[in-house]
Amino acid sequence: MSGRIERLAWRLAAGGVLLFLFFPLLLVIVISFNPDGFVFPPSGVSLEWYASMLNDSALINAFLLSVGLGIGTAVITLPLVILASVGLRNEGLPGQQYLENVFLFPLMVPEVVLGFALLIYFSSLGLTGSTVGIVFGHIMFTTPFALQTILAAMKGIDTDIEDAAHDLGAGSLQTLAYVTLPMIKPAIIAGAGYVFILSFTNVTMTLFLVGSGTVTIPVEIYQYISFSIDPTVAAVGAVLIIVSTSVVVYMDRVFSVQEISGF
Amino acid sequence: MSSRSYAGIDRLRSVVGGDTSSLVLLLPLVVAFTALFIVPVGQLFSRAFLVDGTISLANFREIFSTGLYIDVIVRTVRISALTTAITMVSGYLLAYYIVFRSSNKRLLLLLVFVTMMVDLVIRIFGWVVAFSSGSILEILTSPFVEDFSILFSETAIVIGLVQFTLPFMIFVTVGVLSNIDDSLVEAARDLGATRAQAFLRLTLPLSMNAIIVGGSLVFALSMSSFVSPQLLGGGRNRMIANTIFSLIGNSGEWGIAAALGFTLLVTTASILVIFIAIVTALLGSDRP
Repeated sequence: MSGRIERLAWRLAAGGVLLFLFFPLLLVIVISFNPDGFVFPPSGVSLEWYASMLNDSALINAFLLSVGLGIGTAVITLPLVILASVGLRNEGLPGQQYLENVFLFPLMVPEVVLGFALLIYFSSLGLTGSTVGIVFGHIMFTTPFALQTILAAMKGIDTDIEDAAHDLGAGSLQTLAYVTLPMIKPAIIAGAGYVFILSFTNVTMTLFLVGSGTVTIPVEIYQYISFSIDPTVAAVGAVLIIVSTSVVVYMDRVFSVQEISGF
Repeated sequence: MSSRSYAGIDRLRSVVGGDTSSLVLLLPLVVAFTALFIVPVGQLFSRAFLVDGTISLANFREIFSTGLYIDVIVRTVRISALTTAITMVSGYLLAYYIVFRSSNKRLLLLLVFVTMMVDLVIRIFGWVVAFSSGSILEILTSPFVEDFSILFSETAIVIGLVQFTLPFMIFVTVGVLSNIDDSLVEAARDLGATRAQAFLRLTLPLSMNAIIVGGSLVFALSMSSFVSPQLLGGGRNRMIANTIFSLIGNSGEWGIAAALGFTLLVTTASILVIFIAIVTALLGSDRP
């Protein structure tokens, strides 16, 4: 009997925390279909806010730019990180442990500081407000996360298999391309998804890097909300929730979430 | 050590050929990292200590002699400490449930990860709407709460920050709790320990790392938070990051803004050193 009550208490507590985590997301989804906007309870279901979203070219352009930036950042960050992980897993490398930790430093610096530093730096290079500048910033920001995911997988590889390939006459590049990389393919896919989402959703650092023609979707929404509260944002929010959820669910199919998060 | 490193080089040579190759492989990332992180951040912090081309602490003197900046620093620490306390307790609770009591660990972790990966601005927008008057939250709480005006308060910032930091605490704690051997707790129970005793004397000390790493991460994230205080706190409840942001519009204030960024890092690190020492003293001595 007391076991039953205890189980119930645990479920309520855990469910309460989960509900709290999901509360803002659920609210955004409900409002996006509510014809009365923020007024509760809804009097019906409507797609009015989605239509208004599709008619807003600034939102659509920002969304497309962010998708492009996310893909571009992943395409550049992943090869850098994969090559570096092949080097970093070699424990004989002098200062290997230090190097590994140095690459995690950006995680410890506040995003506002990173953004501010890049703003000043880019203004001397003429990259302020450019897409190139944003991609550079996102590469720096996402590297530590991708490195944690991919290096962990790289260290878990059975090197005997690579040695065997080499003994059988495969060259270094062949071994890397046909033996090593296929073995860590799940980590690469998950890492790419992780980098894409981190780039796609970053707002604080990116706020310093955007120009008038290069506003990303999170920055556009941020500016939108700062200016006025409009249910159109809820429709955009519902779309972004679906984008993030699909990428995460796809990542989870190849790699467990706990491994991606790197803890 | 030498034999180990020798074996390492040997192994690498067999994989990529030549013992300099790991340095070559690292080179692209080292170059990108230096150009995009070390140089800009180094430049920024040098600005904090340079006034008119000479080394000076004038920027820091200005910060610590201006009531406004001191208020902002104190508020940032207060909000972050409260957020950390709430997140640590509720995050540990859910992580404990996920590891020891749930039947579908993977699904629950996936759900938590989804909430972490959705745009922060969207989540904050959800809270802004929830805190506005006439919202569902006001309707639900109307029997208990007379004056529903949370928006633009420290309470609103803390709620936003707890939602933002919880997944980090949960992932760290799940990682640590998953490595605790179940049979230890069973043995303690067999030897007559109550559930509470087993938890306080065994599980909690064994998960000290979750409290140290998770707590530090949550505190650091809160200290440097920008979006939550900006959108949920309004103009009167600025934290350090918001103050830095507001100084940037005027390039004459860049030195102060850089110094404030440096102060933020040092304040966070100092408090974390004390926090880690306290947790270690409380839980470390009790280790079985």
